[in-house]
Amino acid sequence: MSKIPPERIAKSKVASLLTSLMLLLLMGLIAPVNSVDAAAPVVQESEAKATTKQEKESAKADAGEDHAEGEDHAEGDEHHDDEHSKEMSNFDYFLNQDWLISHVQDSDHFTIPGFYDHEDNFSLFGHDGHKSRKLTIPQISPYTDNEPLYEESEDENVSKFIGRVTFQPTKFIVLMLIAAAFVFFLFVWLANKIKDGNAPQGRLWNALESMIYFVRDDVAKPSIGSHDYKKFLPFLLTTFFFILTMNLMGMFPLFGTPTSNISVTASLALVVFLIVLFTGMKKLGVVGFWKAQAPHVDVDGFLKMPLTIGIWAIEVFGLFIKHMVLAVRLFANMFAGHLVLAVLIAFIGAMWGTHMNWVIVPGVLGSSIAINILELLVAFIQAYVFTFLTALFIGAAVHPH
Amino acid sequence: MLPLYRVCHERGVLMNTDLLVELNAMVLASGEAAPALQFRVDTLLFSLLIFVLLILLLRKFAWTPIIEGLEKRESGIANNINDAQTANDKAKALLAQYEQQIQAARDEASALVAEAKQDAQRAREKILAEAGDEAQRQRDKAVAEIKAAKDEAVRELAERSVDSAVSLAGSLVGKELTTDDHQQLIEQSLERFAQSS
Repeated sequence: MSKIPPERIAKSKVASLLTSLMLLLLMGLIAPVNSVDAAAPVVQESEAKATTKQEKESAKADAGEDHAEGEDHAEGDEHHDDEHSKEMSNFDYFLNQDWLISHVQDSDHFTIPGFYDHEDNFSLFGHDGHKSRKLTIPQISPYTDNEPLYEESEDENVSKFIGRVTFQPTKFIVLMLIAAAFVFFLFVWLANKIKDGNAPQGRLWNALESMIYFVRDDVAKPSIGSHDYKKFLPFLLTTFFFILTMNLMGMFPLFGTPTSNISVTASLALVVFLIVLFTGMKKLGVVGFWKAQAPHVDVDGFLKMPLTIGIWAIEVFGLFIKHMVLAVRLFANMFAGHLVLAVLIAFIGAMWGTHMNWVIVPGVLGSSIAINILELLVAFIQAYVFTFLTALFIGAAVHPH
Repeated sequence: MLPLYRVCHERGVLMNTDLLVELNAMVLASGEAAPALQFRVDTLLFSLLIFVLLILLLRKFAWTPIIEGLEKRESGIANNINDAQTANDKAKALLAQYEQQIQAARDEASALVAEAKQDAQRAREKILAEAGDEAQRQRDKAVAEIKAAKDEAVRELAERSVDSAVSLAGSLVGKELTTDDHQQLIEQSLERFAQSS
């Protein structure tokens, strides 16, 4: 783990923390102002990227609503009627943790960024449009909003599990397919150019090649060793570029970040874990691999046996933990970054229609640009960290101790 | 705030996993924060499938040719460098050889020139010496000729004077000198003449 630039990771964490802290402070400051705003509706329009999010809880219970994704959202333009008293205030609506988290989470539809009224109809100018902002993904089995997809049954252990695995194509699955196709065609294109051993030409070719060289010479070789690295290079390269693509997808409107979902990162880590297990067992034998988990204990006498067993247990436990953390690290980094963006943008919605928006809008725009740049960095760093740790784990399995 | 499960359902947030439901239940019971985890086995299986397929496809169609191409290029570059090194060494050796040859040729040429100069010098001296000798000889010859002519003339003069003197003396003495006496007298007087002149 020596090669991860820890100061960078620390920096991103510190930045997220500071931002959250500042947001909390701001929330505290503006909370009293907000109670006034519901009474003072304003019809306004702002930046072209803005989208509207308004809530009509009671009126729209059956609509199966929106949730946009993380980056570029949510700014209000309000067309309030007289039904105000029934609605949640802007503040409660936008700075609601469920709403915020829903921007980063998986769902059964894509959300088109744009201007929307509080009934989630497209409305650049008032109530004219009636186009839904949702692009729903066709489902094999009908997706139901109001019922959980698992079935309660007497035999809960069996039926719950079967009921849960519905193979529902979600937004992140679609995005993963797009990312996989993109990576595949990109590198098949590159392979056709490289395979004759010609000199690289052009920016894209050079950039991709330098990344490939980076993964080969700075990640795979030093971690796995110059003898064995070749067998794992295709896997490491796929991991790096696939994760990088998925991380960067969140930077585009309409898309989202599949790696901000624990199921996705868990599947990546699971593949890593299986490869580590199979590599280790192939190299050292099934028994040898598990035996090699215990380091040599330099103690004589009757303590040797229990100590060795204890340390072996801890090491084996650590082996599982390491790979779980691999999944959680990637998920948490991507999730947190995009959540911070969602919170930032939600401030605009929360403060819309008050005098505070003259301060909030420029502030949010500036800070969300800064956080977006940070997210760009984090996307690369996390892809690198995941690949590097994978290489380290494989290296540890191939060369124990 | 609405109960979490209602908000989720109404917004279409996926929450059809046991974990989420349980978490929701916990959340509802405690009134605490909403769950950020959204673990779904089917999403996991889907993404596992996509990832594994991507690994296999890319390994076959992209990484193998790319890695081979890179290695081919690297070995090509290494070969090129080696070849260049060899060619360079060869060129350097050739250059040294040629320089040596040129130096030798230059030395030879300058030696030739020096020799030629020397020869020329020698020839000049010889010619000069010969010319000097020739001149001397001609002068000597001329002098000798002049001397001989002069001697001849003197002798002729002496002969004539002796003849006339003898004839005069004979006439005076009345005695005829014999031819032998005559000759003897001439020679004596010539000798004297030669000695005196």
